[in-house]
Amino acid sequence: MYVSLNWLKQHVDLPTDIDPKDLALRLTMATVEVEEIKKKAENLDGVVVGELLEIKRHPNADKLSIAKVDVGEDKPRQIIFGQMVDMSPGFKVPVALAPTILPGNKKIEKAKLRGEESEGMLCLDQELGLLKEGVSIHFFEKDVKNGTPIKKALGLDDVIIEIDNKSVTNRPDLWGHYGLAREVAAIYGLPLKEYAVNKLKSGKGVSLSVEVNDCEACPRYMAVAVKGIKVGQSPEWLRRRMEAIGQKSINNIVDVTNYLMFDLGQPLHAFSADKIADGKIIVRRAEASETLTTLDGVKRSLEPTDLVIADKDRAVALAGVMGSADSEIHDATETIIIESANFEPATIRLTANRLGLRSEAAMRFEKSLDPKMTEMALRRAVDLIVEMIPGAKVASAIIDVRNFKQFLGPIEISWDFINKRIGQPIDQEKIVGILSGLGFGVKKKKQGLSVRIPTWRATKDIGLPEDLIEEVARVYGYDNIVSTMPLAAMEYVEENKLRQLERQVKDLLAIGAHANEVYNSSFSDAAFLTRLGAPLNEIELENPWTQDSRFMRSSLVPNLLKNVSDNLRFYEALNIFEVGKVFVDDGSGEIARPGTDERLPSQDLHVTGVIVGVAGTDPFFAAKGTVQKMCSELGLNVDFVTAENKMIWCHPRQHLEVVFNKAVLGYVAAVHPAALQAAGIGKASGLFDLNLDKLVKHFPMIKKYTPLAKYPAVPLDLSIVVGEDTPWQAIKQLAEAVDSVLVQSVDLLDVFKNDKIESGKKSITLRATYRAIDRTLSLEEAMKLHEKLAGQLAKAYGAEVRR
Amino acid sequence: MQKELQKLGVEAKAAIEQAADLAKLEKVDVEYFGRKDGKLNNLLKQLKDLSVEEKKTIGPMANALKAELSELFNAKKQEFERAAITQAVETEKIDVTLPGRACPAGSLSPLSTVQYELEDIFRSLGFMVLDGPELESDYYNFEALNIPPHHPARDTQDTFYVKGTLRQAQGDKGKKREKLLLRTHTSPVQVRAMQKYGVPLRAVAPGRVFRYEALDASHDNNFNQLEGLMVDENISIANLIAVMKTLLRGIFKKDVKVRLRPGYFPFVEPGFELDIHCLICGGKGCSVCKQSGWVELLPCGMVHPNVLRAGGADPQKYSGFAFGLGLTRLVMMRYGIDDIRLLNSGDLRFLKQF
Repeated sequence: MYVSLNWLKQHVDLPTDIDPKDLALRLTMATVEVEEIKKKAENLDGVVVGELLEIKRHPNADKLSIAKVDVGEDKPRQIIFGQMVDMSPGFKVPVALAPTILPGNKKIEKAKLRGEESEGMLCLDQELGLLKEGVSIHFFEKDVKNGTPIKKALGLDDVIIEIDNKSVTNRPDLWGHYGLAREVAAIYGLPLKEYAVNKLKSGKGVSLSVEVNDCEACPRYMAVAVKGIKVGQSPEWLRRRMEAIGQKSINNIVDVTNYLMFDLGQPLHAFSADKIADGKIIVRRAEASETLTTLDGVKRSLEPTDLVIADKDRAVALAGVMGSADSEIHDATETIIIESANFEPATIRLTANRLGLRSEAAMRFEKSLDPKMTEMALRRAVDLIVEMIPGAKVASAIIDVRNFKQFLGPIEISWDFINKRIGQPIDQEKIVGILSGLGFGVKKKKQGLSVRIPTWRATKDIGLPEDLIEEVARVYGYDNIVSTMPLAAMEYVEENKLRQLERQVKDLLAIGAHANEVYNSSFSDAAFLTRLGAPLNEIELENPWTQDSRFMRSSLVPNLLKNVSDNLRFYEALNIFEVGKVFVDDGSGEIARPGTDERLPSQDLHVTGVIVGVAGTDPFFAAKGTVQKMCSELGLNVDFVTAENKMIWCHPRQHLEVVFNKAVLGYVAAVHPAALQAAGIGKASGLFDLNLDKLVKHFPMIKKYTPLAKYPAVPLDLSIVVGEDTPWQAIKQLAEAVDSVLVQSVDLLDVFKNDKIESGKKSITLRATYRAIDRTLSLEEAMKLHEKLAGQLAKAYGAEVRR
Repeated sequence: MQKELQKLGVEAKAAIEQAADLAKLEKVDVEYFGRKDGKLNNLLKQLKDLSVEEKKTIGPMANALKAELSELFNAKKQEFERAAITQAVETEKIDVTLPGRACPAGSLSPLSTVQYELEDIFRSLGFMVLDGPELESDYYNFEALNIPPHHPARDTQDTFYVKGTLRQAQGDKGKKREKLLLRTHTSPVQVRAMQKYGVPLRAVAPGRVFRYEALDASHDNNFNQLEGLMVDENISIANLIAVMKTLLRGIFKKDVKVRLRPGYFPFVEPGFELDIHCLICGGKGCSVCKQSGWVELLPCGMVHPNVLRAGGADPQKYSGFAFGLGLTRLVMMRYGIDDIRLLNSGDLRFLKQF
């Protein structure tokens, strides 16, 4: 939103030498965020209004002309110009007086052009920095004195303040210059000028009537007809106001309605009265299949949620959003109907959003405008039109259909409350001064204040004592508040176990297992899922940014596989992991709304990793080893169980479930060759995936100390040849069962196949460690057990002992 | 005997002195101190034949000599050993400029590192560290935070919505179902935390949030925030400022110049934007701070009474403050990262730097 400093000065007597930067800073600190301050023009000191007295051809150049120009000096200047714009004697245009410097650092010197002297330059708009593209020139009216500095003549002495619209979302009163001037006045401690308007008197000629069918959507509708209209150009001052804030001047009527929208913040609309059947306006909801062509020429299909302004035959405007093309003011309009209404914000917002028509009017109505403002705006509009157009006068009754109530307080607020919430005492007189300056009605009482809310702040903005705290504190200056640490009772802080586990897991993987943590988007890549052959049954977004990112990930694996593929261009080996939430539409998540049984989709936290190309290790066993280490560090004694593979990216023969106490926590697997191919990964890869929400139920595990052995152990090795399908785990379990007391551990030393081993078989070397806890175990005793072990392996798996 | 001892002493001392190297010294050792045929031992063996009187004088003399010689011998031996090491060291020259043996190195994402730093700061101030759903209900993301349907503030929070509403439960048809969305801020945790833990309460909740917007060097539609909330009796604006300053000192390890100005967020009243002095230019004005000298870092405010009520707290009795720190933005500032997209890229050339 653009704000003109000159316009503000119309409402509050700011010091003439006010520094716009200071004003911007103080507004930012107390009211709204100023994004930028722009001076309308720089480097235009040497440019004045000049009148072309005579024009002749340049004797030595076909395309140049020579003009005598009155620039308010004793003698006219001779200036050479080209053919960009047609010129005639009597025209008044901007003239740069040599020597001077124009915007863009363009130097203008007195110089001879093909033998003729030129003492300046006739300036196009773009040469003055007023226009970026195109060719145009300002022609001044006759009454502008020759030699008037261009800055003054064009109102370029103005400063434009750009305000961040987001920061005034809650302040409908600041969507016009008058409201902002009120803030500025309060900040600077200056009086705000009264908004002077004349009383409206009914006139004759038009029988105007208004019927409001939906009083909730339209709390107030005022209208008046004005006759004797001559549509034409707006006067210079009005055009300048519009241009200053980046609005195009259209015609005198439209400009007046726009002017009031930017001055008071109240959008107005002017209908051509000849287009309203019987002078009867109806405010109603649109009918299904009704259409309307808006001012911008677009035909819009309406819905019953839209509010329209209509006559008996058809809709003539989308209420609060935009008028229609066929009821707008035209050159021959002689009578207008001015609408000054108040509409319900949600209705306007819904329509504007649906149609993508966030007009200046809609932006204001959706903020909840003060219904009291319609009257002031209407009066001022009529004043201006009557002032501008001789013969214009009110031609109807003043229509005012009103159905609104405002809560204006009073709000009772105690000194104690103010001081406690701000955190330091503030002088009572100061508080009263701040609130009165902002237009609040303040009555001092013994314990505090009784505060009446001004109507322009009573639209959802102010209603609570807390709201008044803000008013006082911001104008007092937040930076003037002395900071003090809060006092609170000491308390034991309950640890969030999941958060704690998450952090420990990350450290174990990054520091303990030398893995690199990655973060990926929570969106799946649908195209990639399709390549993987994964079913597209994940939770889908209504408005995805791209079609490929329309799903919420239900596993961290696919994005990690993409990471692998991307990084293999730069690295031989990878060991990456991610900790993040995955989304499953099972209705078992957190409660969605208190008092209902509705639950969100589950959003369990997973840790998932992929390992590729680490020298000397099979990636499957690297993944398995990582999970083993991680779980043992966490004190969690997990089992690995062969189970049917459920994930499309898992190798069916290299896959294990990770189980604790019968609960499946996740899986380790080699990546399926088809998935590797789909991802463009040229190397075997291992992966693991654990559900931390499930794991946390067993966390934290307290590790237990085992007393150090008092007696020596007897380690004995055994090499056997068994069928290649015999799983190690079976051998280990059987060996451990030989004597549950004396067999302390059974470890794998080596497993291999070579040409000396019969095909279909493999060699395994294991080490069994025997130990008694109460005596030194003799070698003979251990050997006996070892033989028993070999015998049982032979019996169960046909193991032959290699010697 | 006495003379023989003295003679042997002189001889042995000379032999030790004159030994040219360790091998020769060891020969001296055998010659004089050898168990079987050492000259000193042989002589001492004769002690037993002496009379008691002689033993009294010769005995101590012999022991003294033995001790003296052994000390001399050890000193000489040490001298040779040291010299040998000194010499050996000279030959053990290597190219010390060769690179150290590579240790495999893992890494945490800078997002995690900074998040944990912040958690530790708040833990030290007695705050809980909480978590909350990323896929949220309209209720918790908006309504409970004083943003009713059709509130214009919804425009400032470009939202991803989930298709459809919550699945229709059996026998529950016709009831209004909850609209689901991706949370646009970590603030829903405020209400969830109050409902779960009651008040007084001190908590932070780091986590991922989503905004429906185009990706460029400074915008990602997945990014991280850290929510903070403190509710107790008599919490004031002055308290909020103090805790925010403490937080910033914890992050930047020095006092940071801050300013507080009005900011509008429906779930706080009053609401603030907290700016810090631009760390790039020190407040002089540069392209990062758009020449203002200030960088917007920390939206915050006093918890709105409606939000306290939604959390089950009595606004008559309790007040509180809340803030939402842009974790991703902070990480970028801390490490000078110029493209936000790197953080969710999985690019190890970037991640291995941390």
